[in-house]
Amino acid sequence: MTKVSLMMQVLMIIISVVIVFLYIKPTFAKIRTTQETTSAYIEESKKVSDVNLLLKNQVAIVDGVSSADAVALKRYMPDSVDDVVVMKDLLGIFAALKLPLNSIGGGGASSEVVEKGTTLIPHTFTISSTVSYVDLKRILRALEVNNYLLQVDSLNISPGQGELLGISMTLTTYSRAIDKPMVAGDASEDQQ
Amino acid sequence: MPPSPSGSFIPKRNTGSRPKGVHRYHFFILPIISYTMFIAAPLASAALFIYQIRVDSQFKTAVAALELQIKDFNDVDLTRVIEFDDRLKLSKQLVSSHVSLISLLAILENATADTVRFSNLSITRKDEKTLLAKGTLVTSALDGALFQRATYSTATQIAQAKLSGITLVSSAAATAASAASAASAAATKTDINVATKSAVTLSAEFTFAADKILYAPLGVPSGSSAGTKAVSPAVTPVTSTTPPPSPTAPPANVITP
Repeated sequence: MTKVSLMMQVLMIIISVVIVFLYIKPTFAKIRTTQETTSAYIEESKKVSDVNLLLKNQVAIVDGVSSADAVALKRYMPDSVDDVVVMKDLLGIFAALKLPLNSIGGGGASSEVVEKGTTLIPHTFTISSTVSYVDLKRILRALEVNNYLLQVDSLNISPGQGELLGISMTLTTYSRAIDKPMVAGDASEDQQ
Repeated sequence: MPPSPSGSFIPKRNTGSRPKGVHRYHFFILPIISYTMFIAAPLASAALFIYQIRVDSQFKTAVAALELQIKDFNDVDLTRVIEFDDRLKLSKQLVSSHVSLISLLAILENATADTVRFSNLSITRKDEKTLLAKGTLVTSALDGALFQRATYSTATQIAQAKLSGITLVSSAAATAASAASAASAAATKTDINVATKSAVTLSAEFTFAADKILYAPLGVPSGSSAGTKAVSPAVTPVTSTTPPPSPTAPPANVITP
């Protein structure tokens, strides 16, 4: 009786140890992994929730901009520049000022991306005219208040006939590069 | 002290032959351990099983919450916001570097004496923060050139003014040149007047800081006073070295052919 009891006790201990090593320990590890994963999911869920909230706020701000302002912004910083339209606008400015426009040229987007890592694409135009000094200032003022930027990169004023001055100027307007800009070096590497 | 019990008739049991209970004590520990482990192991397994079910449930809830948040996310809205922000930032960058050439001309007008005129002018944008203006100045006397040099050096809105290549053309040479030019083109009255006197020409190079001549949109007060002084009167020389203003000098230092 004593011997059986002793064996039973030993067997009970062995069964307990087997249970511990085959079920309890792996289950503990599994629970720990699950809890860690759950914590990660909860954290990510909170992040996504914060992003969603922030996005909703930003969308509300964007929606709060009046349609006129949104159109003006898009006109000031377009996704693309139609060279013919810009030339027509320049002609319109001179026509509105009742001033002669001798020549107009240029256009075409420069492949060069503006410095500072921005994604602006410059479009350059050249115009020449023969006007008085007062009219030159009227032209510059009209260019300054244009709906989109017409930046005077260079202006040459030379004597003309009588009170008139011969002017030639280089104007630059910009469009926004939609895709990721590719610098000239990368492009040549791709071609090779 | 009590008397010794050795005199009693009751036989004494030899205490030395009594078996020790040390082994029994050892047999007691094993059942306790075995029973405890045998009961505790299944109980712990059952508790762990229930806890695992709970943890799995929490995990499923977290996954469901994340999926819900991901479904809530609208990438079209994000594209809209990014595009708007990008457009706004670029526009702001352009506006902040938009210079007014009218302001630049006004600064030159204000800093140039009545007796000095530009015969030509070239303005170029050197870089984003600097504009360069090069021109040829014409005046009737060296005093005018001296005065003008002093005036430009004190003009605070001009970052740098450099006058060089001063040339004095005598009246005889100027007359000959005037005759040639009069024959070829319709020279103005001013030109003839300057030409018949001695004329001093000098090359000027001005550097302007872009932030001094920034364009101020309509309705927004300009940071630079030059933007609002486009038609302000020209500088009037007051020193003794100042030459008398020419009666035929054009008003407000207008660039004349």
